Amino acid sequence: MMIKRYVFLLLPGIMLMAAAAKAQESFYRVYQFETPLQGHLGFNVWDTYVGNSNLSYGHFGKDVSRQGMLAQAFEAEFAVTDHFSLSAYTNFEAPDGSVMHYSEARVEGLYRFGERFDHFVNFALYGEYYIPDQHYSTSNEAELRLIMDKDIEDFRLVLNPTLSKYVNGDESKQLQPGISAGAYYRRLFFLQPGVEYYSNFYDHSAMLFPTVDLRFGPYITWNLGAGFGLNSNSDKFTIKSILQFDIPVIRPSRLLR
Amino acid sequence: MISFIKSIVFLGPVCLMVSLSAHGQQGDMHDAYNGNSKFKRPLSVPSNEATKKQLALAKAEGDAVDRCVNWLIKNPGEYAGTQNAGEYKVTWILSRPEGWYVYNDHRVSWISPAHVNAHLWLFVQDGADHRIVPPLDISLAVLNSRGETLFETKLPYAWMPLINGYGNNIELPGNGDYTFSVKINPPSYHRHDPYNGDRFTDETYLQVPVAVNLDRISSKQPLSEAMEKQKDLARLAGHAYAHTLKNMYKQANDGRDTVIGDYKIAFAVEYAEGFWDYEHGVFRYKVENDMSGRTNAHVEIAPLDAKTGRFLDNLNVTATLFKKDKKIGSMHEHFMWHPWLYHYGDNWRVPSAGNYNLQVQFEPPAYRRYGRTDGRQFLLQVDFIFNNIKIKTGQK
Repeated sequence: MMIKRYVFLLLPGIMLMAAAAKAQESFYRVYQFETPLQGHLGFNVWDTYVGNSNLSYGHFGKDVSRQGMLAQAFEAEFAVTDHFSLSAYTNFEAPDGSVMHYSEARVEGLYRFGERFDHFVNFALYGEYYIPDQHYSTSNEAELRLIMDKDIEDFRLVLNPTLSKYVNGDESKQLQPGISAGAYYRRLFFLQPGVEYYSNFYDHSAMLFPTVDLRFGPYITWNLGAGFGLNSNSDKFTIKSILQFDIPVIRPSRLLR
Repeated sequence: MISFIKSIVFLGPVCLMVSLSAHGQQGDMHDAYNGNSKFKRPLSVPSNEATKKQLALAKAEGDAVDRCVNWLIKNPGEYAGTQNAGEYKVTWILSRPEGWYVYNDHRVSWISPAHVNAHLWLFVQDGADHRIVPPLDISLAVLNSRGETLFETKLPYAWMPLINGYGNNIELPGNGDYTFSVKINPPSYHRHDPYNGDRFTDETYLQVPVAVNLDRISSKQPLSEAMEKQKDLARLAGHAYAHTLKNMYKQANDGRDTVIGDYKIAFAVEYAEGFWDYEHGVFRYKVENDMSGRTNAHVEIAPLDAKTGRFLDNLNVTATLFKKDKKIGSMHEHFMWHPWLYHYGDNWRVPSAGNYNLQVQFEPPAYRRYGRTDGRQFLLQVDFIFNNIKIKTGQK
């Protein structure tokens, strides 16, 4: 009887925590139309630091503040074909003052339709599946993202309408629509400023990131951004960093012969 | 915040080292000037720069070259043969000594053969589509029956009445068994296409044993004279190239051609695109061409032999763009190997999309021209302006 009462008491809290856990993203990226060349291996290191936030989230069963949270992900991406790449991620998280803990794994696939300039707008499709550590969350999540891309002179405009859904476990199974968008000035090779917008319509969060892509040669790109929350459901200030390494591991003449 | 910075600082150099260690691709090296290089068919796969249909157009041009090659090796009385080596299909012919025209200051003069008793011809085709491979650096060593090197020489590239190739007169000591040992160095020109462009990076070796009877050789008419009679055959590859050019006009943002004297000159403009290049000895695909607006257009020029329609290699082509009367820039356009349409080209930065005027300039080809009648051409320099060409900006 006592156990049942505790469950009833805890249930709204667990549900709130689950909602809070999804209240804000840990990683921010507007996905691009381009896929790596076939045989290329990408290795990306993602970091997000929440500098100022009034929000809290669920971290291994505890409700903790997002302020001071550091999230880190390691991604390996392989271009299976010229149009299709597969990636695997491991995510880690540390609330302020805590040590890093593995939180979840992700797998994703990205397929682009046709070549740039084949159509007025370029399209690609992105699918992602989250498999959390069982102590971090009981729910796996699937995400589908349409990538729309258009170049106008030196500007690139990218739009990612997104649908995500928890497919099992305790989280709400409701569809969660969102959108992310980016505009980039690509005139220079070594430095490309941009602005990115992220919004989740389910939890009403919205973030705006001035960004910069710094290139250290053709194979290393560092994407940096400072994010500002646009409403009370968003972190107030966030820094993001994505270090991207593109490594041509298999020569085409050996891969395709 | 400190751990955020630490994680980036720690991982950055590790990944940088991994990335740099794999960033280039070096051609395989062969350390002997002997033996036959094993045949390795070059890539011919659909890509972002070549559809199946476009690759078939290149193959059609190669088929036309094959018909010419077949005529050459069946020409009665010649010592001739074809063999695959490395990424090439190589046809050799030993014939009577040849004369040729050399170009100097808008004039050509005929060089008659002297103190020689044979001429070695070499025609090098792409091992995949059988098009003539653009100019290569080819060395020849002639060995006697004991395997001793009698002499070494270069086989220079030349315009020839039927298909372009390589050749030189040689002096053999007498009848007997000889081995013609050929070395083909990898070309240094740019190559389009991230996949198909990865070709011709190895040194290639070819051994041709021939039992020579000099009387048989001297009894024949010069092969170039026989070639000159094959007018229809000589136009086949050019017709195929013209068909391909039309396909390029369809794909490109603008393109057309004109005839000036001995030349047909075509241009096409596309979006800026990547290419393979040797940089500090490392052969790599320059992805950076697609990664920014540093360049935003690709200007292609194809000078052709007006009579046969064949592409003219080894020219110093200069392109100049004007917006109304204002000069935007002038560039030496490098030769670009392309999976279906050889051309001279480079990536440009233009201020915006719109209409431009394109000035094309080049001097006559400096290489030898075979054929007593047909070889007397390409004497004038070209300076022509295509008006109102439509450039769209972007990166492929």
